[in-house]
Amino acid sequence: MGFSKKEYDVIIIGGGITGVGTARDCAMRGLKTLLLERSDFATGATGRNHGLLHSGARYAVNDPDSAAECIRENLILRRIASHCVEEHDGLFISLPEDDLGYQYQLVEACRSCGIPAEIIDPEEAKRIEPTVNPALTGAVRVPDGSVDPFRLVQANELDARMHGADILTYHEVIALITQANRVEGVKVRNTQNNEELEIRGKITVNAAGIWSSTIARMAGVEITMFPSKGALLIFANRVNKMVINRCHKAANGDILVPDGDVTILGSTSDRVPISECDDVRVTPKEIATLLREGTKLVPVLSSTRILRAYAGVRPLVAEDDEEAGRGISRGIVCLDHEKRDGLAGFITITGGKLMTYRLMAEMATDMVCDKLNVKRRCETAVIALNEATDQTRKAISRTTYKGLNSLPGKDDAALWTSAESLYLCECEKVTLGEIKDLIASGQVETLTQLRRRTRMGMGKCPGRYCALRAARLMCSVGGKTTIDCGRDLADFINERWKGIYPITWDTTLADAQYMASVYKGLCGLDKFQTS
Amino acid sequence: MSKEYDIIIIGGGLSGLTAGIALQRKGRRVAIATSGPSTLNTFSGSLELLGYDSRERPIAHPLDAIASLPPTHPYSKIGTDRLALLTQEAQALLGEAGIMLKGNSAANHWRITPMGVAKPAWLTLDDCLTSDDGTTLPLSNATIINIAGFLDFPVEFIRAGLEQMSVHTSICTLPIKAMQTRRNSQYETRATTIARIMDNDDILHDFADAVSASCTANGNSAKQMILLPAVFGPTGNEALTKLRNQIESPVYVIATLPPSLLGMRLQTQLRNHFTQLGGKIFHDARVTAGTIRNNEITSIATGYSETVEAERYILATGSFQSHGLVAGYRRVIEPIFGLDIDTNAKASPQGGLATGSFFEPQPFMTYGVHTDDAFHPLKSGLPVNNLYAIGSILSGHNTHHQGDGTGVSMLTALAVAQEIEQSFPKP
Repeated sequence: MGFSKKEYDVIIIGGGITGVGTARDCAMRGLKTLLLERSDFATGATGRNHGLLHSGARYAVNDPDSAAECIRENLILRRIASHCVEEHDGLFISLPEDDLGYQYQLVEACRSCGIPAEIIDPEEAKRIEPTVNPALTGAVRVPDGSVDPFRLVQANELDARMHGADILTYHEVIALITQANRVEGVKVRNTQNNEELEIRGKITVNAAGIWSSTIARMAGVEITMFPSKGALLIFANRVNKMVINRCHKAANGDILVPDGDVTILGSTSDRVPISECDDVRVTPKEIATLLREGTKLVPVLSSTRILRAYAGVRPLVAEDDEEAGRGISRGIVCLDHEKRDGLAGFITITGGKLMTYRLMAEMATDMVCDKLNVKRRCETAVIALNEATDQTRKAISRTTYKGLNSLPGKDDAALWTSAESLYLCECEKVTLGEIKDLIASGQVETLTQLRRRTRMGMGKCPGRYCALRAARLMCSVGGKTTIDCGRDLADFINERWKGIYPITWDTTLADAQYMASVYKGLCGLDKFQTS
Repeated sequence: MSKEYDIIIIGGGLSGLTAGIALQRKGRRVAIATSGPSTLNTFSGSLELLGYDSRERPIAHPLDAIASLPPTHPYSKIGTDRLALLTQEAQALLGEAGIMLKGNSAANHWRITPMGVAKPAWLTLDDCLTSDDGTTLPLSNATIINIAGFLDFPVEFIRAGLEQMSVHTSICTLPIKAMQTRRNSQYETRATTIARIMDNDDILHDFADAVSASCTANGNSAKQMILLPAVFGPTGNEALTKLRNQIESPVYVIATLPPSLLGMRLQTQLRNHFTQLGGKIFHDARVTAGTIRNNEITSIATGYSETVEAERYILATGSFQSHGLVAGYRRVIEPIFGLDIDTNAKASPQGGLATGSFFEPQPFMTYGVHTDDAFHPLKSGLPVNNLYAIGSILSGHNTHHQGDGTGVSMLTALAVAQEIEQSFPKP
């Protein structure tokens, strides 16, 4: 595609929300933009959090700057990404063992940050949120909500493409090209075929999340990250209408975020070595902690089926020797390495949070524009994401159904077209046509990528039938070999299993055994020929 | 003090029905209480005796391999010689129920899975595609037929598996007009949906014509096999017989993703046989509790708060997926009687019921009720004398990795039926 021939204005490293957000902003300001991601979109902290649309109240007491950023961005996201956001408000509840004094402190702090916070009567709280712990002694209502990070990333990605950005996933940066104290580009390796290429860019933006320090080190620059692991549980029913927070200093298992028809309980906070960040797994101890604290918020959780356990790593930037990372600011860190380290053409944007990704992108892009002497102002806070996305969807759908021609026996086009509306994934209501579109468009190589883009296999059954159905389409529409598709299917199931094996009890275990009966017993996927 | 039933069997899956038939045909008065679907929902078309050894290598002669199983395996409790006799009895029982099968217990044959993998089998429904040696098939040419819009028959994988066995294979997808008009829900793509549509002579006739036409297009019809998804006849094999009569080429079916029509057919035929022998089935009767006094069950209760009494009881409620076993956060229980649980598992690194790789043998698979050698379950360390456990609720084996699930179900059922028969006083 000649990526190495072009010279880009800006090369952004990292396909998380910060990277795609920055790519959108840069592209909207007319910069020749390239985004590089070593794996797939949203594979780091972006896809592994509770999807909270923060009001900022959680930080109001200890970190008022972050809190003020949160509420500003909260209101912006409701406007620009309404299709990714659920507005349902949140409660901060006090239990008998909590100091009610903290409630007043919280409300006071919220108000000074511009966060609407209203003390409501515990009886009123029980009326509007019937599953809340009836022992509550106080409640504060704040404008929390939930946001679907996968859709948000996809919307930004499509929008960036619409504005002319080039995007390369499965391209890992292996070196920065430096000349006379200036970063002039990157050396990347295509992780699918191991080809290496050099790409030139005037400015390189390091938006690699927890891996930012690894990228910076390639340029001989030190950033000390503080990898803070957070474990979360997804429950199979939406037990609460609103976000429920515990009204005390931030601690383990003190927030319950409803989204769609599930509820997510978060989270723990433990420092982990950077080497563990590529494969974080949830431990029995973390599950015990989450359940112990979560059932205090909503007692019925103790008998609610758990769908999955998962964990992410917060890309915090270290400031002191804090043990768990709760005291570290969630504030944004935007480093101009020219000023900081005497290394021109290199910027790191890190810290922050999902909620403030747009502001992070704006800050990084402002810095890029400043260096390139580009005067155009940021418009990401006013131009909605879905407007462009709809157009992009149409552009993609022109390629629709072309893969059907490779299906033998197709003699009745009308028949097939109507069959497109069948659900391939019944839990998440993903249609056959939708999956075929994506595979035919060449945008997805694996079932796991399909899952991130469509939510296929993310529902109440862990890919029971849809995984094999989609694997078939990878062969017939995607033109891959059955060996590759069989291996991909096994990988997909194993990846889903990662979230299931730590919580194998009740219905989850019954379902897990059923899943094994289908894929091992009936199908013999474990004996599938790989030679 | 005559009770209404001699034996009550809790659970109407493969093991419960087998025990029911075996006892009913000896003239006992048997009732089966059943609730919910059984694991026949995922039935492959084959019964398996013992497919793989401890290193997961395929076994050619299952009866010879049984001697080397650990003493905790249910087969070891039955004993090799007795087990061999019971395999004959199982085959006879299935024949009496009108179930046509191929295979024998002396040597495994191979079934072809929906992913085109060959797996060892003991007895296979006559209509299904099998291989004698796991490397060759009856003919060297095949046409796999799928039905347009049916997602649950992975033809691409089956073709790849067949081609590895040197069978030249083509795929043909046939539309069925009726599927269009009948489809009024986006969910309706299951095997059972197609079976309902095919339960119509005209549609079946047209389908057979279309199949014949497509194999003519693929060359000499006598020299190729027609492979269909198992989407016919939840009650019997009449539909397939009709297709066979109309199609010149040999026709075989391959299992689909669940629900398994082959399993539904097996279950229906066994149920019919049991009731024809005079047995009684209580549907939707979830047994919720039992009263145990002096190591004997005195009565059991259903969800409708009815209590029922019998001389002997058989527990055939299955493993976790059938809710015969229930895992709590801290421990595993048997929910009806609170029987002793045998974990039989080496502690996993996480200390949990499962390990981090789906494809490894999972510790939870070997969990089950702890029994003595006569399959009396233990409660607080003592056997419950008039209770027997059979099938997947038994501990000590991993059906996914040993390939012995349906064999354990049928053979422990027959072994227990013998024990019970001997336990009644001779007239």
